[in-house]
Amino acid sequence: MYAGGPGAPLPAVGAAPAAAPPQQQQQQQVSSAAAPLPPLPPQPPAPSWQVSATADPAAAAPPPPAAVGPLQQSAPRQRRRCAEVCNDLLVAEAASLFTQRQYGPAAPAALEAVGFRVGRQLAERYSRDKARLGDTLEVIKFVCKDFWQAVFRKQVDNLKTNHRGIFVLQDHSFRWLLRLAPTAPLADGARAEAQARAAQPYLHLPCGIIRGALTHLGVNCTVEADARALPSCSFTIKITA
Amino acid sequence: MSAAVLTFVIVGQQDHPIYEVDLTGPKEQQAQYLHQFVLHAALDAVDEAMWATKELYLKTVDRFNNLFVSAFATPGGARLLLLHDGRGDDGVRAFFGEVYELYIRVMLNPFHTPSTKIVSKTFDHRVRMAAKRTLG
Repeated sequence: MYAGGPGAPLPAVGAAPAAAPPQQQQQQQVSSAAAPLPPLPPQPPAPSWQVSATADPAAAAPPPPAAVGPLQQSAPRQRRRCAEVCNDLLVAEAASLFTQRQYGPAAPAALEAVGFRVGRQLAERYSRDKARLGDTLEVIKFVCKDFWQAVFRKQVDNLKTNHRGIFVLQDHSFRWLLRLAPTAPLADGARAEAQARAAQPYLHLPCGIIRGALTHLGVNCTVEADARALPSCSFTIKITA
Repeated sequence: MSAAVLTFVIVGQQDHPIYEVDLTGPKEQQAQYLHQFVLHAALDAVDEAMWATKELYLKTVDRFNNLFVSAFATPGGARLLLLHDGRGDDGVRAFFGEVYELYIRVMLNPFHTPSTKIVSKTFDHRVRMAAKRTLG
């Protein structure tokens, strides 16, 4: 049962926006239905509700249960946040999914292709209002600082180059592999190799993302990752063409 | 009001047009091939302007008779070109800003391949609205 003035839109979506500040923007008839909800935080008085209550006795009836819409719909739009663990789980699941598939391209190529596309789009987005980047070194620096900050939540710790087209980006605590890392770096060579092999499936996606970002900004290259000393991870970028 | 010659083209990274719209009013008939030719020829001038400066908005890069070509270069390598007859700088800059925003949204669409034509009707509609708003 939906008690509202004439022309009130249908349940939850229409009712919830009535509660908070943008009330004045909403049609007066809409606010009547949601105002009587008790659990909502104190809100500015709803004059239209008073008016319609007297006009329509049915408005005093119990509020429609479905109208407890999320208050966020009416509050000024806040940035939505997502837990970081969702990203870790998604990457892990993607790696295992592509590894188990019997058809289609092999897991490394498939994951890299996915990462490539994502990297292109992310580069487009994060290079938004920055000046255009001139040469390769500037592009790499952009990837190390702004792009890495946005995607991996920190900046690259160490950038090395041999000035002949090879760059090594070293991240001392790579967030995506943080859960995979042992508490102390492994000293034993063989175990480090085994660890690097174990981490390999999870690195195809970041490599693809980096390669996509670089290619989109004009630097054709190949990217390889080295996870021998987790949580520190290094990416080797070789410029081609 | 003088005849408003306005054609807008987005050129992708491989120098091919990925979006084209004719923004003239309904009553004016213009030679479309001339616009395309002028815009294509202006790409060289856009390249020169890009080498000269790091700015995104390149102002007027080329002229042909009484037609001006203004350009905006995105960091990703796409160029937005506008063919007009001497519109105000502010309007053109505002228009480019709005279309750049729309362009980024299209590029973020996972179902869109970056080097193919933009066929979204919503995009088309919004570009036209932005043109009306900023360019008159």
